[in-house]
Amino acid sequence: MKFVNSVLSGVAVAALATGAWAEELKGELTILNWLGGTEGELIIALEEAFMAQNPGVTIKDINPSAGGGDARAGIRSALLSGERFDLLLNTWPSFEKELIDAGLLQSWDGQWEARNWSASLGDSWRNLATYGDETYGVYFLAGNRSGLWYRPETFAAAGIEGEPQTWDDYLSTFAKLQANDIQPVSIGARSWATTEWFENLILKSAGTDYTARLANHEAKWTDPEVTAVFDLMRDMIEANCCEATEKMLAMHWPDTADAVLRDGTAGSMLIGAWANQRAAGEYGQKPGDDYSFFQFPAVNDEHAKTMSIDGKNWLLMDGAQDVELAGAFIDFVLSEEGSNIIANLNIATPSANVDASKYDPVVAKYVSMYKDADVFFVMDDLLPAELSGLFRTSLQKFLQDPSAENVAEIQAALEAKANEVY
Amino acid sequence: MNDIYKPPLWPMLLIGVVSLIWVLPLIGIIMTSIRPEGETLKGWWNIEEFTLTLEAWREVWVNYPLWDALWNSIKIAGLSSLGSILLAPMGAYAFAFLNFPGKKVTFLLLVNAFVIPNQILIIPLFTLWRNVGLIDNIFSVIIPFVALSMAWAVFLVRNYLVDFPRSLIDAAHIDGCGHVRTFWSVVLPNALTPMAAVGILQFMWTWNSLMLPMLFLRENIPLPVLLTKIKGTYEPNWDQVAVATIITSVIPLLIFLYFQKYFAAGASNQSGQKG
Amino acid sequence: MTALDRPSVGKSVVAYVASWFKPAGGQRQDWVAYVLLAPVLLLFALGVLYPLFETVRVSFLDWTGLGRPKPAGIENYTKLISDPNFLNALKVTLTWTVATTFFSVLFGWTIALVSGLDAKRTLVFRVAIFAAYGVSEVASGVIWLGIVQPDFGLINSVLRAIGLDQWAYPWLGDANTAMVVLVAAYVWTQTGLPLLTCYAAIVAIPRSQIEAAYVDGASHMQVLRHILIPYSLPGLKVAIFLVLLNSLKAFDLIHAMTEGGPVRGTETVGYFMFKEAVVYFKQGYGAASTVVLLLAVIVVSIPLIRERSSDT
Repeated sequence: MKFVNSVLSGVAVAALATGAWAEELKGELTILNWLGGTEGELIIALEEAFMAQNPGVTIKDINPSAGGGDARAGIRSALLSGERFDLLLNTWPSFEKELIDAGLLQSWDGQWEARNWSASLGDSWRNLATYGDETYGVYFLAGNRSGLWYRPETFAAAGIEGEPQTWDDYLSTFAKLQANDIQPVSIGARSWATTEWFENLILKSAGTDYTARLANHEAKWTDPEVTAVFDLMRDMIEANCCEATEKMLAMHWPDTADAVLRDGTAGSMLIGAWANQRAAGEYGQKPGDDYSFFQFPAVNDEHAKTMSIDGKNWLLMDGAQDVELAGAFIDFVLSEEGSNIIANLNIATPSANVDASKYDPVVAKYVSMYKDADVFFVMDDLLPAELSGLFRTSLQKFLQDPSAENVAEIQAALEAKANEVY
Repeated sequence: MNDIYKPPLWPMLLIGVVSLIWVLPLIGIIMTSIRPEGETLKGWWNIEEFTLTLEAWREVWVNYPLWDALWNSIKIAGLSSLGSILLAPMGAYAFAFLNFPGKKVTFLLLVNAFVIPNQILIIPLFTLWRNVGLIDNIFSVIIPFVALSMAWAVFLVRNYLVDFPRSLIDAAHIDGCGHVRTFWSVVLPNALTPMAAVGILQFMWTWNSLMLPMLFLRENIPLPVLLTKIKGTYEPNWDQVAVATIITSVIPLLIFLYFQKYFAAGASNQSGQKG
Repeated sequence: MTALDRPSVGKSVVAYVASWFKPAGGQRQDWVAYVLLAPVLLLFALGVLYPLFETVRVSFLDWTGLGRPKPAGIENYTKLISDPNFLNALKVTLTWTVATTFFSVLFGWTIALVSGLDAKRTLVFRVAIFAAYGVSEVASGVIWLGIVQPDFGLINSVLRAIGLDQWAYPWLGDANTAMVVLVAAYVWTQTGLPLLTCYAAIVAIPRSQIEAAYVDGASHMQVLRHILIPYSLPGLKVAIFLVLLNSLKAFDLIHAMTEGGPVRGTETVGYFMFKEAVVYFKQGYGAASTVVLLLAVIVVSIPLIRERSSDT
């Protein structure tokens, strides 16, 4: 395999060096683009820039609208109906796996070697979309899911200096904040936001390998590692970290962002990069000054570099008409020009070709971590959808009754479901 | 019309108070649309700061093809309603006045289809529409809309027709009219009220429906589908969503206002006198 | 012509069901009925029966919608009736449909009746109530989320403002109050419908009849009881039927407000079905739950069906 790849890449590099520049790209590329808002605009901007560079190329978008809040509904019906397209945007590794198992995707390996994408994307990014020996996805957007968002002002007023580095540091901030009449943490559990806590705690305490095994059900949900995470969460609750249970269950992450970043009535909150858009866009706050984030504190030093991330990647459909053209487009997305189109919209890309000075300080801060971090995709998105559903409600149940007995029951139920679905 | 009696005051007061509750969220939508988004994040009733702006009203027209979506909505809801208005009385007449083998079982099947959820239509119809090339054609949603409406529309019109003065029908028959003539020239002109009811209900229903147009249409999308596009994944754009919601809700309201009169007209026709 | 074939009260359901298939012997057959019904039935077969048939077929398969379907026999059904989440959803659906239908119809009917006494001056209020029916479920969900938000929501703000701080509550955080909030929001959107159908029935009352009653010295309450209420009943029947239909299928509002939570406390069968079929994409399982719901509703509505078809 490796041999074939390197031969191929040699051939392709030679081809690129000699004729590729002169040869004009021609043809039509069809993309199933379900993104909306700024990300939707980004895809269109990338497509237009690529077409401007290659007048012989037309890119057609198919837009299935997101059904009932889950874009997979639209994607699935497009697939089921036999809709033809070359590239698919994806953000759910579990869905990716399903598509591979159904034989609907083809590997990017040939293009990856030929176009030397490893120069743009580190191996850990490639691994995120590698199944068996083959890579099926090319990441071009990535967000930090290990950031605890806070207002430096709130922390300073409570006499907290620097960012908490360890879990104990973090717990010790609670009393200081409480003394200042600030609720230490705000958690919104109406939907899925509690899963972020579980995921970061398991990464920081048991590491990416164990988490991967849990997500693939090679480890058991009844393991002591999982129990330990619930114990850590119980410690938080017993330290009166957060709102009353019912209130947590009535709130979603925007409510917690309101409390922590806008109103300053709570200390910190754990959520993905959306907090940045909300604070800057809707509260009109200055990133880095009015608000910032610190990385989830280390629980076990061995796993301090772990980082939960999310991202979007490009999948190549099995029936793609022109793989070369698709590859050329991805190459453009990862290139300096493409990366900077992304960065201009203040969206984080893992591509090494990006000019980080285009970002606001908050995005720049987490993009700078991508190089060394031990990244792991948001676990909830790796779980089979059905187990993910139970995972979310289980954490709600835990908040209602954090006792050890209830935790044992929850773990047993998760394990039973896992046995059924894998 | 000269009123013989003077209406009491309490009905107006009672309904006025109740409608206040109904109006409150509506005011919320309007307020959200005319204030900057940052201000209404703490609730539209929060008036710590208060700025009026038509920014969202301008933005939404510039950023999204609202006119096209509005026109698509009108076409889809209009044609679906027309289809139901025309077909329902035919079925209803057969069930109300005629006798034929299989009548009961057909009626039962038809009216009980009301429990069938839209979800089950998606996959089979999607495959079918693709094979016949109807994807992104407004008829891909109009056909199931009219079909689904038969369940309640036939029932509704039939309910009205069974109270129809049989003497009129018998008279028509004595005059030598066949069923089709009787239906056309005696029953139909007198069934305008339930037909208007079918039309208005079907219009409202199809106007706000989301699932089928979302999956079957690509370019020719109606307003509710556009609405989901305005609301980005991570940026809620509530102000613009509110504007689009107002635009979406105004048309059904106008239809309602218009048909209010229509109901009354149909009623006076039926009783054979002018009020 | 057609004699009305009303079943006697004592007649068994089985015999009654059997009677549906019997041709009405000895009576004249109006073959022209098929001509009138043809377009209706054609559309119905294409748009409803065919998908329904497909659903029943798929309910016997194990199919994720992407790979090849595998035959599953009755496994989907046996799993379903022992799935606590499905049984929970059935229970939630019962509460949900009964509560939403009851309150929307009650409000809509009452308002229509009272409006019957004073059509002119209540028009603007009827329009306001009806306007809510034009607001999409998604938009309603967003507006109501703001009203019940725990910190700055309208309800809690008002409670705090009038000194009832201890009454302020995170309404969506508790399955019982979350259900109440959802029902209230849904009733808000739906009341316009019964108002419309009941009021249409009332407007259809010959004016002369009401005037005659007043001439005879009837009071407003007597007009209400003896004319408006009886005449509004057909509209009421239609309203119950239509609102029930809507609330069984409600999805967007629940999704926008609670996502079925907390801990599945507000997960209806419609929502369950969506999750299974669209999110988890277990087509077979989702289809089986649809079929069970269909059967359950038909069984529950047998009294209604009897009454309905007895008129034919």
